[in-house]
Amino acid sequence: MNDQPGGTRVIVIGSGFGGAVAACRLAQAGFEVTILERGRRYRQGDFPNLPQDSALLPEERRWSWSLDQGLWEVLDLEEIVSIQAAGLGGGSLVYANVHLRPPKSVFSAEWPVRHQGRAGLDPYFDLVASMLEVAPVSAHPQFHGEIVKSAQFGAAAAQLQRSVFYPPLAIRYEGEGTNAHGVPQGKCTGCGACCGGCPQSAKNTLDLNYLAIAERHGARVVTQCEVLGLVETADGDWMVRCFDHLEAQKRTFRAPHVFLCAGAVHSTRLMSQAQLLNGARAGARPRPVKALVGTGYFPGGDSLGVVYDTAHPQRPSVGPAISTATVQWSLKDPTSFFMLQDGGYPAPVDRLVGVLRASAWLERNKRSKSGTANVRRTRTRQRLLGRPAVPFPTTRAPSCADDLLRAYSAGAFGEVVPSQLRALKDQFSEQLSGPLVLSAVVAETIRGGILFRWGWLGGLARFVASVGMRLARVLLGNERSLGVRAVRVLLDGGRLKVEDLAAQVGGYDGAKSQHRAVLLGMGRDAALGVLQYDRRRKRMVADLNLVKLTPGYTEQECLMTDIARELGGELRTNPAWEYRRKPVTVHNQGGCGMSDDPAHGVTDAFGKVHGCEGLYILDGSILCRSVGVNPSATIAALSECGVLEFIRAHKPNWPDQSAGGQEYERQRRLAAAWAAVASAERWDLEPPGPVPRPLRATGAAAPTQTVPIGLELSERLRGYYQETKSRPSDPSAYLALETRGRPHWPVELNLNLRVDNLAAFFEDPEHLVDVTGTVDIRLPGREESSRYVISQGRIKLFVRVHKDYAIGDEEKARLRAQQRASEGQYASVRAERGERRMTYSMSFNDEAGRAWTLHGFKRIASASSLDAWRQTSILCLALSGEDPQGGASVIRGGGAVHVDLNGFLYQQLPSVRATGTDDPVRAAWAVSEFTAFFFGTLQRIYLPALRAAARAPSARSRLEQSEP
Amino acid sequence: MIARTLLRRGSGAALTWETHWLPVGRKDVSLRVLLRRLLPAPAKPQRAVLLVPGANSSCETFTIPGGGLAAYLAARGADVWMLDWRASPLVLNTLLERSLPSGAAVDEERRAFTLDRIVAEDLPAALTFIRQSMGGGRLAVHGHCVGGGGLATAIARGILEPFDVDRVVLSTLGLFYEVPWNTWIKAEDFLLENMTLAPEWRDCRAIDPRRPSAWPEMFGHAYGRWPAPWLPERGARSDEFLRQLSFMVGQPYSPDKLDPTIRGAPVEGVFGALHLGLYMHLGQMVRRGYSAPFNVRDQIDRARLKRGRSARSAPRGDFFPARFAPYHITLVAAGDNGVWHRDSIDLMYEWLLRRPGARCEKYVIPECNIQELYWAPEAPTKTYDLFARALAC
Repeated sequence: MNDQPGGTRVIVIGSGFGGAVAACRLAQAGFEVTILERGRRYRQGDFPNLPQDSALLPEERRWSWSLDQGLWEVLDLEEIVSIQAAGLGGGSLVYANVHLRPPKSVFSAEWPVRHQGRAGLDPYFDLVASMLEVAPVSAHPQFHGEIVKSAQFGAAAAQLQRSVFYPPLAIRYEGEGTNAHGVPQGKCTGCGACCGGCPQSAKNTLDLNYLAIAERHGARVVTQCEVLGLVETADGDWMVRCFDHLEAQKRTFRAPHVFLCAGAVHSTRLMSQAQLLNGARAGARPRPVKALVGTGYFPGGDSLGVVYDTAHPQRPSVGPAISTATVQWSLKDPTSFFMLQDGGYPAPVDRLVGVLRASAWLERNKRSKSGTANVRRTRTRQRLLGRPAVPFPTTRAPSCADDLLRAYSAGAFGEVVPSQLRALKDQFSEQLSGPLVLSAVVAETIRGGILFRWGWLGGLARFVASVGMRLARVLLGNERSLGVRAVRVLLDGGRLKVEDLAAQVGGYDGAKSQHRAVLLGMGRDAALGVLQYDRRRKRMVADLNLVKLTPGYTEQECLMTDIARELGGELRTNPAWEYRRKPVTVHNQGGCGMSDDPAHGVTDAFGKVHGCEGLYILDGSILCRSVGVNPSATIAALSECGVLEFIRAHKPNWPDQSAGGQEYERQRRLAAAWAAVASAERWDLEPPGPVPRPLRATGAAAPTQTVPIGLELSERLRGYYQETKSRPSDPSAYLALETRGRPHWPVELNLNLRVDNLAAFFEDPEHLVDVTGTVDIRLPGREESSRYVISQGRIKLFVRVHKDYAIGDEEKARLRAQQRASEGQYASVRAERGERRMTYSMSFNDEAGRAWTLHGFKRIASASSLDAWRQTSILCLALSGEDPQGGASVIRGGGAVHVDLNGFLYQQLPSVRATGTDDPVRAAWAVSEFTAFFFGTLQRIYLPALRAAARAPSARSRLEQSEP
Repeated sequence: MIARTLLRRGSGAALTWETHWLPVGRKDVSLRVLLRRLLPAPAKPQRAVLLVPGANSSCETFTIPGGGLAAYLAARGADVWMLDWRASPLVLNTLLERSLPSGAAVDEERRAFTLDRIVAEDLPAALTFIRQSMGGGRLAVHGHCVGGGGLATAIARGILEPFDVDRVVLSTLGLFYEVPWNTWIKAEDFLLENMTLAPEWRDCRAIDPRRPSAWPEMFGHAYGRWPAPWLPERGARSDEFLRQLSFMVGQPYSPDKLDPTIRGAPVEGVFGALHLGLYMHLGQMVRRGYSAPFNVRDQIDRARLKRGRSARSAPRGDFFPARFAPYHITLVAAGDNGVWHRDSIDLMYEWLLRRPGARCEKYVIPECNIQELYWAPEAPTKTYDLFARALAC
């Protein structure tokens, strides 16, 4: 029980690295602590079963928070997917045990003065490390010697002239029995199940130390109690509104002090929805601090790759989830870095890990073994590269576009439908009298389709649909019986062997399951985004600056490719990123950043919310800059620091002579001893800095060998211009000048367009393309045309991304805060509609060295889809150069140039080719992605009605009303 | 009434029982339940244990194989009692052989077989008799499956208070009724309720897993359409029985994991018809996810629950944490339970832990289905010892 019964009431929301630490220290100090945890209490043997053959039914509800308050919560934050844990112990239940502290350079001037340079935090880092008994695997040579993946990772890094380090892990390596805090624990068996919940209780999770101490000192733990809202009352208390999942009812807790430790996403959500009074606790005006909530969010630069078919066994299911790491420091920014860590997983999920190489991904996320064309010759690939299926001009060199067209025309991608699924489909079709089902499907498609908007054609379509549906009903029965039969076929067909299913659907190759290496990336985010509650979607959304973040992801991917090559395998990366350009993060941070200045941060250096008496935030949301390493140690250290400040504000003599005080004092002494051991053993408590060590590239800024995938194409435009002294007012004026310039003032542009990093290009709202090439032009005052080399050129292609949840211009305070947090990189792009342009800018110098610039634009407007070709093929040009009367640059001419259809079809399209890879499959997909982007954008501009019609409920409902 | 009977054990040895038929119930449906005491009983019993079986199973659950848990506890010096309450085939079969008394409404009989009435009438009758027999010694109760659910309900309603029970073992079920999702969707379909709407099946009294030909048509159709992967594989005749039983309540055991001496007929003999009153009450609680009286109006609105709002308009009837305080409670879950989801125990455990000073323990037995807690070859070492310790034997 409490040392001081009836002490000050404190509510701690959440029991992760922030909440557990706070609750423990507060309970030791005699506060009356209530811990509200939305998840369950997990003890040894309680974690959800992993999918095994013997399982009668999967324990889906214990896995998923959304299904039934299970262990894992997957949140779609619109631009990123967040995965986090729910349970007593928070993220510690499923994290990979890594306790690294960020390099000192991370704690820059943006942090509160107290934390700058990290020196003030180091004792707290030591205290956390001591409490969690962390040590690197290298401190246990026998244990370490059995971890093959660690040795293989190290060997691959060495081949790349890099070295690795061994981060401290919160694992009980040896000795069963009770831990230093009197809680029974097992020892690590190296089963790799760290991220699904340790079956041996060998992970030093928070419920085995901090939370156990808190409960011993009388803290009350209320599990399965999800906090819905925070209300500041007029009498100085905080009211915490919860939903009790065990009692299935709402509950309310009150206390004068609340520690919000629900994790970056949920703390930010609760803060943004909190009902705060002003400083006098009267009236209802929102505090200025709310304008800052959600700004400065970042996802920790997480990425995932799996190397398949390595030359040597990796044994990914032997050893802790992470044991070894290498660091890559930025060439440009001395404070920026990322790490790659060796991942692992338990044997039962072996079949699931194959999913990254499943046929369904069409090999898009594959990097070949050698980075060249040395890929496995699958049937798909043979089709892809085999005989041409369509006649195509042969007078030019084949390009990736050829590959793509051949692949599509030959139906090569049909091969990737797994045979087992095809069999299932055949069985389904057979039982349901195939063609008739087809007619029903067609009728249904038409029924919900777009034709209803098109006058008499719509009437005809309605008639066809109606006949089709009636026919299907007569012959097959109604939809209900059809559905019942379909379900039966699927379920009976579901008796596939698990191995076969995993192989066909999940890309699993049992014989090579030991030849896999998991690579986990994380690093410092190059830009901060916004995390906010979207009222329309009724959930949290993240507005990220993916333009700035993408190069970081690409860099990680390149280093992964290097390592994959050294391991002799092929790399597959996260399909969510590859396909939807949606990163996945397990390290959400920021949103309620700390700052000494109330105008710049939500909390102060100790987590106290500026201007809100009694409200504290201690979790990942208060990190004001990306730390680059696994953030658990930082969060716990900040929490130790913050809660000590709180306790001393109430008990200046803390730690006192009470049992809790003496225990805390003893733990601090143990921390000092732990620090001495770590120093003597030369453990890597932080990523090695960019200082050369025995091997050149330990932390050194060594560029990766793999370059990002890019794209290049050529474009030829020809036309005329006329001298003029003012910029033409509109496209028709440009065209008039072109007409007047014929035939004496020709212009011909032969351009080479190049994108170095295709992934970054897609995220860039301006879609910048580098331009080189030549300009053939008769300059003003000259008698003849001459050819000039473009010295600098770029194209901005199409439009910026439209985000309806970005911070609006009307939210001035919030916009200012985010601008400040993102160092001016945030741009509100909300509500952008209407006309879009492609702009060209090309500079060149004439023979005399005078600078000339051609500015061009293509006007893309959706007024009429008939103008699509005309608008996209005409480039309105303005020529600017030195004023003959003076030095300044002025408009010297205007006109237009055109892409002709022949050139577009037979020169421009075939010239598209991917760079940075020799793998034709990757190259074909790069081209495919670019063309999908280009023509997809055109389609969105010119055919908006198509999309609107496709989802128009009115058409569908009209038909349903007409159905008998 | 006192009688002596011999029951054959699977291994050929015999257990001797003292049997008592106790009258229970009200005027509408008068019943007798079977209370048995394992002989020889200790001369001065320091610890008596009452074993309560599941919904449509008899107390032979505790006597096979080779004397089972009952013999194990007796060997540790316990005075072992077993209650075949009104839902047990040993009691219900007799009732079903008689037609309803003229003029008696089937609804009244169904209400008499709800868990509410069972725990309110059968348990007190048995415990009163045991207390009178043993005097002031210590008394523990052990409920398995719905027996555990019944004991938890009895505690929540204060029914056990007069009997000075000190230890309680709830095996696989407490106040939370969580099931695998294939059972849940069956309950959500209101299969039983819809079945009784048909005029020809309005008077259906019970469903017997060994007589599918007598099943109501709608019930049989549902069984015919039930997805094959959700049922045990077809094989021997006994497997057909297991499939029918599994469709009714979920798969209770895996034949290949049972003690070899009891596979087949001995196991089948444990199960009998499930009275529709109890069946429908269990269905209601499965839909709610927690224990509540029959036909009360506090149905959970799942849509509201999803939105994080309060799902109930009335307080939950059976949830009185303070009433669990006097007992040392041991919760046991089977890791591969095919009838109840292990959440039934996990949630109960977390709920009990909210009490200050809670005396509660939880054990999960891995790779074990619900009946294998008692019938697996390794049960004596794996579970009997645990049960004995939990019952302080």
